[in-house]
Amino acid sequence: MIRTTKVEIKNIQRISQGDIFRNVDLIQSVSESEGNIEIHKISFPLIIVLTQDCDLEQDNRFRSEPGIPNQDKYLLSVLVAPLYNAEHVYTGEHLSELSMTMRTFDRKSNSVMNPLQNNSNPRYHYLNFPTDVAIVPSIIDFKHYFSVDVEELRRLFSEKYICSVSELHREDVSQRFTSFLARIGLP
Amino acid sequence: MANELPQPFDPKYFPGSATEPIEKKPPNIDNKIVVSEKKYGISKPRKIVVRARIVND
Repeated sequence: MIRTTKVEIKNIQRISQGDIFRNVDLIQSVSESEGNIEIHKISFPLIIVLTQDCDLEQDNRFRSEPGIPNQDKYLLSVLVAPLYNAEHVYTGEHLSELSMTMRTFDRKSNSVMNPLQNNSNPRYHYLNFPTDVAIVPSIIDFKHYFSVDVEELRRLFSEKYICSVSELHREDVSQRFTSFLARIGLP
Repeated sequence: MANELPQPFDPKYFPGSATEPIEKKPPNIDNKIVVSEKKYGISKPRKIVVRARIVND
């Protein structure tokens, strides 16, 4: 049986770890030549916030509360990871629009035997959303992450926020991500 | 003698026939499956190039 990720819709408008946003861009390059500007970017349909929640809470408090004499707790950017449609990941086609072919996975019906669904592969994290959440089963690839300007994401919050992974499940994502990032590549 | 033989549509021999009242079961609300239209995450990441020209007033 596939575990379902518990999610919630927040009442407060601040960025939190585990938040899921839609249509977030990764700016690849900005160039200018003789008055012509060219911007290359990748638009990701879904991303999840990985930045530590206490840092996000302090950033929000320092920006919101009057009388704080410095910007010591301001963040410059928010670390995020794309969510890929699990069906596309199985076939290795989730980055086909970027002209990239990825490895394929055997889709076993039994989740115990499925390395993606049971999160036994440390590189990937499977998120199976409840039926009342309008997100398809998704996979995070811990090799793929980027940063988004924190002020820009705050500005777009109400337009792009979908929901938040609940605290226990977001801790699971965070712990697995940091563990993968800190792995030691032995020869 | 003929009355001792089973009648063609005797409910005893044909349960569920038109002569037997049909039991209507209420829908099981607890087993109701809420199906939502999954609208996010259908599409793939895509590359976008924006070109603009600076125009001096």
